[in-house]
Amino acid sequence: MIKKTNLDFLKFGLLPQIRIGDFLLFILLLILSIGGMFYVYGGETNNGNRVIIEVNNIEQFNLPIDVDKVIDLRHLLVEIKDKKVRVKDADCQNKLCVKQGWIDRGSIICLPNRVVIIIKNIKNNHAVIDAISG
Amino acid sequence: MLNIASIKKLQIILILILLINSCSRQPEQKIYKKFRILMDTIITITVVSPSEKEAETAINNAFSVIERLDKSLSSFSPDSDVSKINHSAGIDFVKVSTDTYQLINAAIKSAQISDGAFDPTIGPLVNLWDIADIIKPDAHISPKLPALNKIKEKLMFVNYKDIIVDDHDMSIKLRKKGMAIDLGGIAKGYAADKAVAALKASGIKSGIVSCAGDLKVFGNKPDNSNWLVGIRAPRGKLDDLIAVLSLKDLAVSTSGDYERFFIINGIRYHHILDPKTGYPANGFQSVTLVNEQGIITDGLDTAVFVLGPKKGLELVNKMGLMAYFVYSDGSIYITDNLKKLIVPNDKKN
Repeated sequence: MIKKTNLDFLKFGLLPQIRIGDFLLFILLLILSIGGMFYVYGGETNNGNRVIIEVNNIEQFNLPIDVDKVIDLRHLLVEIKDKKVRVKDADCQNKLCVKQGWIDRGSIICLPNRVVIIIKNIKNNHAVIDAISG
Repeated sequence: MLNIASIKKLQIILILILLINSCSRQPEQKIYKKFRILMDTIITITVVSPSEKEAETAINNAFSVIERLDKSLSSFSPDSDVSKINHSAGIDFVKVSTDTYQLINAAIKSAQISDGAFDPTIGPLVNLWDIADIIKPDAHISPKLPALNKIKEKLMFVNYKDIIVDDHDMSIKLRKKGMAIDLGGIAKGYAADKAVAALKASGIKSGIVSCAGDLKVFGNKPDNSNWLVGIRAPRGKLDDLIAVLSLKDLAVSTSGDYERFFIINGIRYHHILDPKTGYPANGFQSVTLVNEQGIITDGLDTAVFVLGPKKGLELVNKMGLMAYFVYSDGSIYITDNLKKLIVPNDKKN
């Protein structure tokens, strides 16, 4: 009996016997599939790199790299311009941080003033070089 | 219009899409990195982990280990083991932490191996030269050379054989009043070893602990490749590299004349002092050593730097170390066992 009924559906090709459950299941699967695709393949959008400035191991600034700005840290003058960062001036003798110049990835560290400036790449945190000895 | 069969077909397709999606979203191994200023330097810890939370907990554990070490070893803090030992020099034994005890024993061993080219009792000379303070931001004083008679006076207090170790209750005494230990030449390598052990204990399979020039890598990157470690070019900018090493489960230490220095009349006076002459050692711009243990690379890179090119190489060969030398004229020597770990120029990027 059942077999016959099924064959009937195929023959007529219409939907009089679609149950509400089938329809709801279809909608649910549709939402899950499309949502799932966004979850898997999406979410990789680049929110823009951030400039993090830590003083004494405490984060003091978290700034977008694409907004030009000059930050006065008393001993250091940090400048963000054209998606790059540099220490514009420092009041120490060797001025190693100033000599490092503009960076667009990695970090600038001023040990005497205990300042760490990090460019955090939101999209790609795999640096070419993983560490430096020296 | 839809019929039951096409609805069912669609449902099967959608279930397949769901299945594919669920397979693709494996917990992704990512690289997490944190900086902290400790031990008077910048410490960077990098770990590979599927979860940010796990990475953060492990990194914080490792930083706590280094923080504990810093408290025992800092000569700035009056309560540290090192300060207590120095204040009790010539007077009494000081009971120390396991870390300090192990580190002092390792330092004495490095001194013995190098015949005193590395000497943990170099403190009085380091204090006399005061290079770290001269180059501080607030110093604003012109660098000045210490007087020769002062150097000779301090040399009398530099001898690792005058460290008395009581193994029974882990206590240390310096034989003469005026002596002072300075473990700056070996502590960072030890810290890297200890922090890597802490990361592994937290379940981390791969990462890097980098204490300024001393670092240790373990495991592989998420793409299964080795970690790439650059050796700084001694006369270049901060991020100029002279070579790139491809490493797994190895420690690297570099001692260079460019880290802390001042120049008078064109002569560079840096922080790596020869315990026998009392003056900065010459012969190298930088010495990089590679070995399984950070405590060995850190303790001996200073020794090799002080010994100079000929005796330094003899020590490297005797200890079976891998080495990258930049001599004072800028020329380079690489030991054969290190050559295979150097990344050719065209593959660096």
